[in-house]
Amino acid sequence: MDASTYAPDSPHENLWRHLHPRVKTLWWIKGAISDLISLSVISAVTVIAAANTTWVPPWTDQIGWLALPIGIWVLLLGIRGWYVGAAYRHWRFQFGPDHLELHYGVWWRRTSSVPYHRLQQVDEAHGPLERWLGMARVQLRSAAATTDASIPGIASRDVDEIRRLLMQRAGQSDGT
Amino acid sequence: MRFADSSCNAPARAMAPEISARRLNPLSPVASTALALIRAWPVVLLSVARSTWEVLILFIIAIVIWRIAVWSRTYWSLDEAGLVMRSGIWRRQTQTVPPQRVQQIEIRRGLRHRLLGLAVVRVGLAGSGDDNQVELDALRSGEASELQRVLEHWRTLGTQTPAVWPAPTGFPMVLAPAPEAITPPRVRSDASISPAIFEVRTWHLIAAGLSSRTLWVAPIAAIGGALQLSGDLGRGEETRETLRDWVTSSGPLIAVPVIASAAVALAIGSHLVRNHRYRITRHGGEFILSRGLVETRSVTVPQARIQALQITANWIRVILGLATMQIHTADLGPRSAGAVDVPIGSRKELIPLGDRLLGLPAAAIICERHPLAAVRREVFRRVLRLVPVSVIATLAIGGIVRTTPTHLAIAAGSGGLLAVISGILAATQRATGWNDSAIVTRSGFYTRTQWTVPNGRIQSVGSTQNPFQRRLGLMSLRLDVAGTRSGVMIKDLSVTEAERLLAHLDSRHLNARVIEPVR
Repeated sequence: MDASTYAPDSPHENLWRHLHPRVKTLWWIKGAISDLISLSVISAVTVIAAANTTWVPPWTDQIGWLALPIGIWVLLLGIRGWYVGAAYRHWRFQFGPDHLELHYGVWWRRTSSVPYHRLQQVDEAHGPLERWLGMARVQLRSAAATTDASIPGIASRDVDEIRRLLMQRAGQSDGT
Repeated sequence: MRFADSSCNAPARAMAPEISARRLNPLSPVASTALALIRAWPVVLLSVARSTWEVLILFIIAIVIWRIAVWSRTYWSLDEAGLVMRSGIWRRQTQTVPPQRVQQIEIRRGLRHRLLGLAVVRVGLAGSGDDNQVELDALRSGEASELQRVLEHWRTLGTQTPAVWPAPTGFPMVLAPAPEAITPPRVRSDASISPAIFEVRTWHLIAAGLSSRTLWVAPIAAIGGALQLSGDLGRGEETRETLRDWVTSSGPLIAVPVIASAAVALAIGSHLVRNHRYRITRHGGEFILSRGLVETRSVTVPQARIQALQITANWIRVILGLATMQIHTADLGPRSAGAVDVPIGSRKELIPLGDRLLGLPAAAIICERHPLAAVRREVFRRVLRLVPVSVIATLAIGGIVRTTPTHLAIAAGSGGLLAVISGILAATQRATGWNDSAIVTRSGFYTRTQWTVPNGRIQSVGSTQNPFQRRLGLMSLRLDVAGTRSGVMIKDLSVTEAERLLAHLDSRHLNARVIEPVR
């Protein structure tokens, strides 16, 4: 996405925007790592339990110790692929004239509406994977602890523009 | 002692007059040592029981030295930046509180403070946790009241920070007041001289004690205590025989009423002591809530800082027409401090009191019940939760081997029935209404809760729809309000109503900045 499209007087204002397409890769890799860790823990527990009891897992003779967890992981990767695509399609946000609006969620559809004049601070964060993919996450904070307004998957080069835009609009209120 | 200009968050004060920093009252180490000894009661008890007096003396000396060290490294001051406090032995900390950021001021006098003529001043700021508060423990009682008066006066000077805060004259610590100094009006902060806008009645406090959660454990405590008193019960047949003998003897006739009475006395007594002479008075734009018999508390809450009100009543209090009210400011405070609340009152009194606290017009907000589809969703949600829990509990109690399918069927059936009944009761109580000033939402059957949130206090809004809600045409809303730990949930509105409310909020709270600045 071109950074200039975030400018306050941009002709694209009030348009619904999608996240950067690279966020799909980010989500998919994160999910794959998370699944791999979970499956490794479950497999390790199963192996330890099997070693200490007379119970023998039914698949050991047929397909070996590693085949089933790897099979499940590959299946989960496929499901993740579909889920990431669906999550990306449903994620959209809009810089309205008075407030920022976010729509997201696959099963649980959520919306968040944050008036600019309620903004207390705008945080920017990027983990190692995000840095590698050239992406960042923008977190908006209001005085309420429950305000849920985080935009993942923004191209790093656009973050400054978005932050400037948000702070400029927040500053148009009483500044407190 | 003068502050070194090392505070990273204090504004530049090159032109400011030099102001001396003060220490806390020299008697404060005595009060804090007493508290430390009370908290370390197991050590004290063990030392006394084993007559290891040398350990106890060394322990007390260590505490006294530590408290004196803490006292000697704690300074506070009022200067052009506001209230400045510097403390810490290993980790030095400087906190600066601009008066216009103060959410509430609390003056607390525990028994040990009253004996020494001291008071603790806690200044609450927006946010949560111990880092978001400044506590002066402790000052001379009169000094604490004077500090409260000065901070209140400074706060009322306006929302914009002046270049130099006018230093109040008459405050003993200020050596060189600024030329623009304004003398604060001599308003007596003693709440007892002003007419109260609300007072708690004694019989309400007794009713609160009788309907409190503390009392609900009384029967369990009585039975448990009585069994304990029955002595060694042994095992198996011996247990049954001992128990039978004990039950047929006069033991329970004495033990159960004694323990139950103690629980009742504790429940009522704690309410009476904690909320003795509870009253709310008004001074201009501030409300002062004072209470307490052993430990007296006085909390000053500016009206402009109140974010939302929560009226709650359990089923016993609903029958008695009583309720409690939580007053939420942006200061969440540490969990131990407790919220600003009205401990008990008649529901008919609390609703107009709430309107008065929030400064809302007297026009009642009519709440409409949520649609019938909400009942189906609530029942479904509870069935999903209660049926598996009942089955698992039955398996856990009966054991996997001994539990028959009939047992499981009965457990699942009873769990389902409970889910249906409780779901219907809970969902039919939900109601929401709004007007140009505020939103009111009610929920709960056994514990009924009513939130009142002024439109101008809503920070942001969120909505949620799961697949089942989408099918039933329902939507849940979350109003994000400062000072609440989980926001204000409005569950299962019809999509039409939810969108109407969102549109209303878009037009109201988004424009609220014009008339109601964020503070």
